[in-house]
This record gives sequence, structure tokens and C-alpha cells, in this order.
Amino acid sequence: MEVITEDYKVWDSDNYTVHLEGTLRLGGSKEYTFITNLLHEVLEKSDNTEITIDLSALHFLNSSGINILSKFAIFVRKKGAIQFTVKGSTNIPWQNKSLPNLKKLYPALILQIE
Amino acid sequence: MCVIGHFDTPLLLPECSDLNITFQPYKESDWKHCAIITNCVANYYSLMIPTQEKYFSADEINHYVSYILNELIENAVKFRKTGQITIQSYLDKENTDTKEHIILLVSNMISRSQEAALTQLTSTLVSADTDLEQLMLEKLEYNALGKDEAASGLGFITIMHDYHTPLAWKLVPHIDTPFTKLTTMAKIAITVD
Repeated sequence: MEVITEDYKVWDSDNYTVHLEGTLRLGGSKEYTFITNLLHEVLEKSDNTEITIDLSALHFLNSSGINILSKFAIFVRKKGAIQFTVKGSTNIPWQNKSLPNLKKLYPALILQIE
Repeated sequence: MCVIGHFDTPLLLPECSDLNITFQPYKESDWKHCAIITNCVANYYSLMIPTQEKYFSADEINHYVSYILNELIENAVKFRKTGQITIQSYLDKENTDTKEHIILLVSNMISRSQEAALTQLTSTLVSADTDLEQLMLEKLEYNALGKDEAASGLGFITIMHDYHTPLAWKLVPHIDTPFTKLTTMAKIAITVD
């Protein structure tokens, strides 16, 4: 799946990776449903064994977006035995500030901010 | 009038602030205009940050203002009952303490019936007894159960916890109308430590 708008690009690639790029400031969970669905779809494709979310080119994400990532982290934690990786960039300030919270929700999460 | 938090700035006359924007959302989910206004204010202030070691970089300030103001404007659009939304802002360099700040004030009209829930939430956020990190994690767990996340206050909590930015609120009832003017203040430090 690939969604491209003038503000953001969302797609999945090999190795069960979902990429989010650009600026995501959608209103509430409803407008983020297509991303939530893609995350669940990719996780199922891996037979519930692994998933990576690559945020290294996501420059802005609002609190509604942070909420859907957190929800997914909690979902993965509850399912158990899934290798869940989140990739970020140290050059993007919101990621240094907010992504560590995901690890507090799911300590087994592999957080790579490089 | 009701004040929650340390609202230590006067409600400004338009001529006293650096940048004022007033707009009327054209629909309930007017996120595109929120983003345009946010980017304008963030770009404006990132040009005003001196390039000295004691200040955050212009890029960092741009990001901080972008996140924080966008959350405040989205809330104003989401919970506004009537009238326009006003954004006032200024660079506070005259404070006697060593920190310098960007002050953001976002105002909108809410109904009287919204006041109680807002007062309860914001009073919890500013209480010295509140562990913000614990509260944030609890809200995220609660939201994950599919509860009413729109009013969870997650935006406010992330501003205060992740960005270490104090918030305060002022509610002024409008006489002879069923509405109250809500002003949310954010005080963004532009100096490191």
C-alpha cells in the first residue's frame, strides 16, 4: 500500500517495514485509521513475528498520531513475542522528545534513533 | 474568572504582542489551516532566535513552537463553540529570571457546560502532586482501550512532559451569553537550562 499527499507519504516495504514521511497532523484516530490498518496488515503478513516502523523522515507528528503509535505499541505488547522496531532520527526534535515514551509502554521495543 | 496554573502574563492588547492572528475555522476539522498558521508562527520565531550557545537552535525552536502551537490550535478548533480563534504571541526577554521565553496565548469560546471537565483536567495537570509521566502512560493505556481520547488531554500532557513547557488557562465568562472565553498560555523556553 502507498498513500502520497502533498504533506506526507505512507507505504510498506520488504522486511515488514512501514514508512511514514513528511508531516502528519491528522485529526483524531479516525483520520489515522489507514495507518493503523496498514500496521496491522503488515504485522499479519509477518505471521505476527516482526514489524518495523521507520519514522526517520517524519518531521512532524501531532498528539493524535503519537496516540496511534502508542496504541499499536500496547497492542504488540499484549500479543507478545513480536520483534517490534521503531527507527527515528536524532535530527528531528519531536522524535528525541516523544519516541522514548513508546519504550516505557513496551520495554521490549527496539528503539533506534540515529 | 477562573485561572488554572501560573498565568503570569497579562492578556495582551493586540499592539503589545509581536504577532497576532485571528481566524474563523471554516469547518470542524480545519486542520490544514491550523498547520498553515502554526508554520507561519514557528517560522516567524525561528528567525528571532540569536545564534548564541545559550539558545536552542532556530530549527529546534521551530519544531517546539510547531508542535505546541499546533496542539493548542487543534484543541481550540475541536472544542470551540462559537466565534473566532485568536493567537497572540511575543518574545519575553524582559523577565527578571534568567530564562527567555516565547509566550503563546490561544483563545476561543467554549460553552459553560465544558468548563467543569476542563477545570478538572487542567487542575490535575498543574497540581504538584501529579506525576506527569505516570499520568501520560495511564492516559495512553486508557486510550488504547478505545475510550474517548479527544478529551484525554494527551496534547497538553505531551507539551508539559515531553517539552517541559508550562501551560496555564484563564476562563472568563461572557456576561449575557452562554459562552466563556478560554485562553491557554504556553511558555516556551528558548534558552538551554
